[in-house]
Amino acid sequence: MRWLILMLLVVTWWAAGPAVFSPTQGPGPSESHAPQRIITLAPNLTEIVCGLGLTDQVVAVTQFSEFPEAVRSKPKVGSFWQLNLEAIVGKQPDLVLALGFQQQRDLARRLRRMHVPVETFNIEDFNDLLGAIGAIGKITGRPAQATGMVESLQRDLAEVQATVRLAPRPRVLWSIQREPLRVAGRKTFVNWIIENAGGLNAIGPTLHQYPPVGAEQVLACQPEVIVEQLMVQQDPHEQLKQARAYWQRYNHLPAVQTQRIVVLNDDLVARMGPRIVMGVRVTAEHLHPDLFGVAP
Amino acid sequence: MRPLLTPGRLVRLVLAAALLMVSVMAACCMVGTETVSLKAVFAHQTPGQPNPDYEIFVKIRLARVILAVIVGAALACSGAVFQGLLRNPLADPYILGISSGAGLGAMVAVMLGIQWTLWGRSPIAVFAFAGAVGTVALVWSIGRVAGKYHVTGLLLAGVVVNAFFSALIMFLTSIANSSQIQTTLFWLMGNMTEETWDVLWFSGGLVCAGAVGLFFLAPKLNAISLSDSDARNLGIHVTAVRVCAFGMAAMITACAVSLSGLIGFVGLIIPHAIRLIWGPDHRLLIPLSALVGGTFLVLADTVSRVVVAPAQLPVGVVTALVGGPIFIVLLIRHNRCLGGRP
Repeated sequence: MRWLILMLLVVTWWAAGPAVFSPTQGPGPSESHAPQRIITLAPNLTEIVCGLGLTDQVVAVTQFSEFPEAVRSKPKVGSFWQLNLEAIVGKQPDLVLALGFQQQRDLARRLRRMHVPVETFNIEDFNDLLGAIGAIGKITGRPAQATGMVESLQRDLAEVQATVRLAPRPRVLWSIQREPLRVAGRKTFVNWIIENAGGLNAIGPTLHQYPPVGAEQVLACQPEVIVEQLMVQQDPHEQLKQARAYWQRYNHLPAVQTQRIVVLNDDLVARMGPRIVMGVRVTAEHLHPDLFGVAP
Repeated sequence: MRPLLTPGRLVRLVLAAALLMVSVMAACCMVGTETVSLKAVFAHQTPGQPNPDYEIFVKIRLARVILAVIVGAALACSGAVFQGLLRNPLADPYILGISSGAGLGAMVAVMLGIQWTLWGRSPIAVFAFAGAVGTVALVWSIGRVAGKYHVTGLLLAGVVVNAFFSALIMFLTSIANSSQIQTTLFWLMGNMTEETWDVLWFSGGLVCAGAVGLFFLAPKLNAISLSDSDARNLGIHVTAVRVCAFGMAAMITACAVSLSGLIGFVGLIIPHAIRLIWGPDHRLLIPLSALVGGTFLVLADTVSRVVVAPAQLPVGVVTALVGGPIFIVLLIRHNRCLGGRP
C-alpha cells in the first residue's frame, strides 16, 4: 500500500511537471521595422533576398549558397539538411527564411520557441516561387523591388514561350543520374522547364517523380535531345565527353545519331530560384538553336 | 575472479558512473561552435531582451545534452535486457523489428506530408513511436503463435518483420521525391535535435521509470539468462517476467527512437563493454549500462556537433566510428586477462 501511494505521488509529480516549470512565453519581437540581420537557409532563398538588394543585411547562409558572388564569404550555419541551431541563434538574426520541408519546418518550430522570427516557404513550382518573392519582399520592406522581380521573371518567361510557341516540340530525355539511369518524370519542375522551353518530356507518366529506367524504355521513348545536369564540381567539357561516350551504347536513338546531347549548369535548372527563367531560356536555346540564333 | 556484488559495491559503482556522467554533461555543455560566456548566461535576464548566450547554453546545448543522456541510457539499458532475455550476444534494442517499424512510421509521416504536431512533437516522432510499438506487438504475437514464447521463434519473427518492413521502406524511398528521401535518410541515420523541456521531462520520466523497473527485475533476469528451466526451478514465473521486461525495454527503445531516429551501436556495445569490465550480473549491468550509455552518447553527440562545424554529422555515424574500435580493444584486453592468446 505504501508503495502504491509513493508511486501515485511520483506519477502525479511527473505528469504535473511541465505546468510547474514551463517558461512563460514572452512577447515576440515586433515586426514593425525592416529586418537588418537575415539568415537564409537555402540557396534559392539567398538568391531571392540578394535579388531584392538585401545582400548586406544577410548575416549568414548555408553551404552551397554561392550565388551571387558576394554571399560566398558570408558565415555558414550548416548545410541545407544539417543546420546548426546554435550557430543560427548565435548570429542573433531578426529574420530567418527557411523552406517548408520537414527538417526546416521542425527547425523553424524550435527557433520560434526562442523568439526568433522565422518564415517558411514551400517553393515547389514557378507560382510558389513568385508567391515567395512577393512575401519576402513584403516582410523585408521591399515590396516594390519584389513586384519588379516578379514582373521581370514573368516577362522573360513569356518571351521564351512566345519564341518557341509555334516550333515543333522535340522529345527530351532529361537524365539526372547515369548509373543506374534515372530521368525526370512528368510530375517534376524539370518537366515544367522542358515544356516552357518548347520541348516534350520523352518519358510518359510514371509512378516515380524521377523514375529509374531500363534500356527498353530508353529505346522506346526515342528522345531527340538528351539533357544532363552538370554534376557538382565537374568540368562541363569533361562531363559532355563522358555523356557522349555513355550514350553511344544507344546509338539508334535520334539524339545520339544527331549528337544532340547537352550538359546544363545545374544551378540554373535544378534550383527553384530567380535564375530558373534563365535556365528555361538556356534549355530553349539548346532545343531550338535556330530560333534563338545560336550555334547548335 | 571478480569481487562479489554487495550493496556497497553496487552503490559505489553506480555513484561513480553517475558522477562521471554529470561531469561529462557539464564539460560537453561548454563545447560548441559558438563561444558562450558563463557570466552572460547567468546574468540578470531582462524580459523582452533576448540573451543569445542563455538561449544557446540552456535551450540548445543543455537540452541537447539531456536528450543524449535519455536516448543513450534507454538504448544501452534495453540492449542489456534484450541480450539477457534472448541469450544472444548479437541482440540489440532493434532486434525485434523496432528499427524498421519506427523507420516505416517515419517514412509514412514524411510521405503523407503531415503538418500537425502532437504535444510539441513532430509527426515523424509520433509515427515512429507508433510504428515501433506496433511492430514489437506484431513480432511478439507472431513469435507466440510460432513458438510459445520460444526465444528462437521470437528472434526469427523479428528478422522476418524487419526484412519485410525494410522492403516497404525501400519501396517508399523509390517513389519519394528528393526532399522526402533526404528527410528520411537523415532520420534513419540518427539525429539529435533540441527538444522542449516538456518533451525531455516526459520522455526522461518514461525512460527513468523503465530503467528502474528493469533494475527491479534484474535478479530474475539473471536466472532467465541462464535458462528457462533453471529460472523455473528457482520459482520464477518466466513468462510473466519476460513479458514485463520485453514490454519495458521495448517502450523505452520506442521512446528513444522517436526522439532521435535510429542510433546504432550504443545498445549493442555498451552492455557488452560493461559485461567485459564488471561482469554479467544484471543488478549492476542495467544501471551501469544506462549511465555509461548516456555518457557515451553525450560524448558522441558533442563530437558530431563540432567535428564538421558549422554543419553536423549524424550521431549514428559517430557512435559506430568511435564505439567499434574501443570495443575491439576491450575485447582483446579481456581475452588476454582470461589467458587467451592475443
